[in-house]
Amino acid sequence: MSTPNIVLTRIDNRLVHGQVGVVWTSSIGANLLLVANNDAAKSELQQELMAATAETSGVGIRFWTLEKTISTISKASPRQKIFLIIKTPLDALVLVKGGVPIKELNVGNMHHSENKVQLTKKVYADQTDQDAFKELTALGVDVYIQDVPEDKKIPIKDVI
Amino acid sequence: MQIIVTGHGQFGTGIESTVKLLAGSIKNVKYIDFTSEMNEDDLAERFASILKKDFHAVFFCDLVGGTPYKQAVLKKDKYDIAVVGGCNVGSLLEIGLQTDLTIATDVHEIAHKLIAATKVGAREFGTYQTQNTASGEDGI
Repeated sequence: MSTPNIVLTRIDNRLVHGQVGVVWTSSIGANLLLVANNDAAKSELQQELMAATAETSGVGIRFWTLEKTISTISKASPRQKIFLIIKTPLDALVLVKGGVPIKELNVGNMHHSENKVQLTKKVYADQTDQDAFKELTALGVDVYIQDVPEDKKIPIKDVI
Repeated sequence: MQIIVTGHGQFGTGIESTVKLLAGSIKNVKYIDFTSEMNEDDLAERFASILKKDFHAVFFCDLVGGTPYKQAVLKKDKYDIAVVGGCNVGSLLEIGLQTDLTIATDVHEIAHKLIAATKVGAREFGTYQTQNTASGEDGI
């Protein structure tokens, strides 16, 4: 058991797509994408679509439930540079409370849906999202919005 | 070094718009269109003016053997260049973002990497194998 080498954690409601699988993965030098999402862990089609992106980028990919992520991520080898991808702030909170060492949280795409208010061009959040962000911040996680690597980080506390 | 993306019509600025949407921008990548109003000399002049600013360049051309490709190759005696044709936007993103082009100088190495990434990146859906654990050795 050791501390897993998580190079970045990102919230993205599309999970792994072109921007995440190619742009972010290349920029941060990750070699393993870990998708922590209960639906994706069950869906063969979702996995096949995201595996395509990972394979063309030459990195490994795993699809784990939140529970498996909490129980198993500490078994990672130091050579595994993990890019953890999750869908919602609440999932991030579950992982942090479960002991997954997430120090910073990149908020990428959270597209518009009902009852969500706009925080930035690509980030919309409802009350549950905002409460989760506040709790994450209170737990010491550096939460910021940043769509692409060259963008400036916007601290979440500046917009909620 | 720089990567110069060039091709017929709006190939260059078309790729630029894709890069912009996905990544914002990639440092030291330039985009030059060869449009119907231009002749070879116009294009050669554009290449010369951009090469004067940076001696090392990889030309990323739409087609092997097309005019942008040929005009690029003609610059090889005066500048340190490599010329590739037929590479895809995924390879440009991957190599452009993984490499610090501001300090890299081996143009042929970058050319080879672009071609390798292009080959890996061209696939039909349904031919991938997902793996949910590490193979053999330690790790997850």
